[in-house]
Amino acid sequence: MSDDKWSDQSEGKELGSLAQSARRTSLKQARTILIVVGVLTALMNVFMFVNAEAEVRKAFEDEKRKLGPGMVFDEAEIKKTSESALQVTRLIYGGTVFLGVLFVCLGLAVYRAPVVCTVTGLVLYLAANAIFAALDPLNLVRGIIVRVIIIVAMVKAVQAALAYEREAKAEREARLGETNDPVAL
Amino acid sequence: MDRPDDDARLTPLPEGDTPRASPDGDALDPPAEQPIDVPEPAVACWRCDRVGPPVAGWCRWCRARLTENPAAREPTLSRPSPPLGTVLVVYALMLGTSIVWAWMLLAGGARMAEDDVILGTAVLEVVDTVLVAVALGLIGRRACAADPPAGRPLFAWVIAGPVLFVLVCLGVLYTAGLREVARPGGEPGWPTGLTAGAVLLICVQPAVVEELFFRYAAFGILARTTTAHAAVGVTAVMFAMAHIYNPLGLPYLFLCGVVFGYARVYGGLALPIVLHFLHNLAVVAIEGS
Repeated sequence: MSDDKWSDQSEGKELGSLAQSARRTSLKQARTILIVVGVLTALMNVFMFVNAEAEVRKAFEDEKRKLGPGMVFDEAEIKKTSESALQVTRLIYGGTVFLGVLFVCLGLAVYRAPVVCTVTGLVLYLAANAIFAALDPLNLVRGIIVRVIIIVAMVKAVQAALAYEREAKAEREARLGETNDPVAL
Repeated sequence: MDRPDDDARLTPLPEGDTPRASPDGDALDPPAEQPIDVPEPAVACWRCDRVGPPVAGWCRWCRARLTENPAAREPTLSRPSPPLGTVLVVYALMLGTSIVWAWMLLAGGARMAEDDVILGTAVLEVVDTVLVAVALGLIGRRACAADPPAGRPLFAWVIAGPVLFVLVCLGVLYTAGLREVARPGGEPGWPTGLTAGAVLLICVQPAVVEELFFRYAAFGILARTTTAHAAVGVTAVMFAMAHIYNPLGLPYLFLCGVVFGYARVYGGLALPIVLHFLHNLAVVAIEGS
């Protein structure tokens, strides 16, 4: 009878360890995704930050061309407006570089705080895509398959992180015999 | 007669004693076994993780059914945790409605009349209110976080006023700085001044609905799995990123989210609602003047 009890316990522990290692694999995938997305986002937007002036100049030239050859422009006003547009463009690209760096940091910290990093990463990714879709509707369609794959992987990572932390918390409590107050600071 | 050792309900007779006889000469029946209320042992709920004796087999906080083998009811890896999944799905839907509204604003630009902006904002807010109501209906009381630490609510309410004043000042400085850098042209006609419509649309609805979603539902669910600091941070990120039609204001909105989050931790749910309302009221009043 006691042998069965021990073998049940050790089997339970083994299953628990297998489940935890499956969750760790999911977290590892999330880590890879966050780091890769972060690095690509940062690099791409650094490049666009550097080319912001040329991009703004090209946009203004295109607008002037659309208005036709006979139009007269107030060059001082155009210069003021283009400087302002350049500042905004650099702010947006700079912010996106920061976002990329944030993704990398979340990926590196995913084992320390799985739920926080995966949920924050998913929220930031969804919201960043929403902002770029709001600025240009075509952004929603470009690379949609890759985006969907990334979102699905990150959702799975959130599920794994929740189960992983719950299991780790139960193990900690069993070891130390203490309960955590959810609002303990 | 052998009696079980752990049966405390019947006191064993000393050895050699015989049951007393009644005055009529009949042996007395043993006393009827009185049911004794044995308190149920405390059980850790598989859903909300709270420890306590169940009430008729149900968790006294989140009403989850507690079986003899709680591990059997543990959610599997393939199924998402319902409360957090609900929050994230509703959040994604709210982002979707904000995208649609942002497209309409971009398309209309400066040509949009104030009435159109008010109507569009009202429709967007009705949709958000419905989404949040559905989310709260699905999540229910599982979102309830623990009560504020003892002795803190009064301190939180007292200090909230000065903190809000500093926050509004920072917001004014930040907006002024942004306007220096990015001279906005062609802004749509947002309602300005303290009109009834502005107060309802910009002050009351966001204060109540956004706080219920971010500081009650999202915070309550995250605080079960992580620390309060982490939950405040994550909900502040969610709050800031939800305002996608104001991308340049994200850092300030994140700061507001952190302040409201800690107001929730220390002052209960009413405090961030009041702070959010007063903050938006101050902004509308300043913009109107």
